[in-house]
Amino acid sequence: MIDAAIVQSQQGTSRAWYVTRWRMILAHAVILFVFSGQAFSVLFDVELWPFSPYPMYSTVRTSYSLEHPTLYAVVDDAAGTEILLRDIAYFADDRAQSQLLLTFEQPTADPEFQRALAKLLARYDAERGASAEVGPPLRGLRLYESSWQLVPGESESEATPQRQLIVEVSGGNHHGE
Amino acid sequence: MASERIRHNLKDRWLEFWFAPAAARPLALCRIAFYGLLFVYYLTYDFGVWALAPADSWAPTPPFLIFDVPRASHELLVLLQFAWKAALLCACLGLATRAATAASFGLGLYLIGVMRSVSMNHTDAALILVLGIMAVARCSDACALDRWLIGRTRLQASRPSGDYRWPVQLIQIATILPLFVAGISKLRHAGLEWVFSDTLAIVLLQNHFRTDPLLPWGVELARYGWLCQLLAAGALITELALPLALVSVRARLLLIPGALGLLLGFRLFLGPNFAPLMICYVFWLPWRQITDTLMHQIRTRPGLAALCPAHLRPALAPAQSRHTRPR
Repeated sequence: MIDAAIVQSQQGTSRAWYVTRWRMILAHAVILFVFSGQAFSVLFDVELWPFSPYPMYSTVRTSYSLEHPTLYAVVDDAAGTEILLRDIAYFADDRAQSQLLLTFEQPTADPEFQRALAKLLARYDAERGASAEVGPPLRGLRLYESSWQLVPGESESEATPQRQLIVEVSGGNHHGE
Repeated sequence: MASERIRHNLKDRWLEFWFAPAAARPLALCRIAFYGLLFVYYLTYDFGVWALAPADSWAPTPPFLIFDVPRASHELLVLLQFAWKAALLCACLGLATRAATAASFGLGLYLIGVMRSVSMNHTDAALILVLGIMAVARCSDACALDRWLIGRTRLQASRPSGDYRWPVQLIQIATILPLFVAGISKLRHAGLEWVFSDTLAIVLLQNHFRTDPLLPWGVELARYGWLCQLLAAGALITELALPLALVSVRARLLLIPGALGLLLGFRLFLGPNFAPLMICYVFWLPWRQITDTLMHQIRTRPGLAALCPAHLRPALAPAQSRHTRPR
């Protein structure tokens, strides 16, 4: 089979490639698919996952301000302390959880969204029941629209955001605001 | 006549680039490293959590949209991820390799596709292409349990063939495309202003608050505008020059570590985790030189050679004596 392929592949070329005709066609089809998919995505500037024009960070930014929805956990203590949800070990250490949190950081008060937040909290409570290292007991979750005025050299502890509550979900029952 | 010669010359160059006969072992070693690292990376990753994502965040990627593929339940996602991880391990070991690489691609396309239908980012798009290419590559013709299990002499390398070269070439292209195209996007949307403005300083600051970079140095770096512009220029030059790595060994020695440095820098200072793409860079490692060096070490140290089982020792003979490169 290989020898026949050599004869095929030598037609019109100066050497043998030791690839059957079928494999040669398959290889070219795959090469064509990858190149055409990527070229189409770039030329028309459209997302065609897994092809992309990769626009990340490609625009010029001039404003030193940031507005971003941020999820806070309300700790079940007397003061009702608020901490960033991504600072809790369970969400910070697990790649899937921390990526999932990004999908919750959107400015919406849709009831479906609140149900999803409640599920997230219920799952956290279940995990916490299994291991105390997961994080502190939580009374609820709050999604704020946060805005920062960014100053080079100023970290989180120094930069206090302006916040506006979008949604609050309590353990057990939940309500939007 | 001249045009005929040019046509033949171009065809020869094209075929030489993709199909110049190569040994089976480097592709097989790429297979082991690629699937092995993927298995380790995703071993503790829980795809099941994506069933918890808000319903309004579901924006199907093209493969899901075209074939109307739904998001699976939590239980099904957990089951599928178990099968995917098993397939990655089998592909690494070379066990039922054809089926394992095909399943790694199919299940990976679905599981990673679910993630990207909920939360679009570009950290693992190239991984899907690499899994797809490996699914059709003849990557089990060396260093695979399959060959040992069916009882053939597994240590004689298969005849060099173009079949062992084109997947590596295409995967190398797939791994540099994200950065190269990102460079083109910057030129298209911002031009050189992307370098000669405060853009990188602002991105470093914004990502410090919005995402989760490993190091909190972004806010400090942002104080030095000239340094940010220098870093931006370095990043853009590296991205746009990357295709040179395909044709020049010297450029490769500089640009591939540079590209890996960029991907690592993204994680350290900006947040996005490009580990899946970094794993794909194993296809840039000089496997032939690595194995030659290893073999030389074993051959020149009788103690090490004696540790090898008797039936493996013929493989330690110099490569030239076992097969000659066909011309």
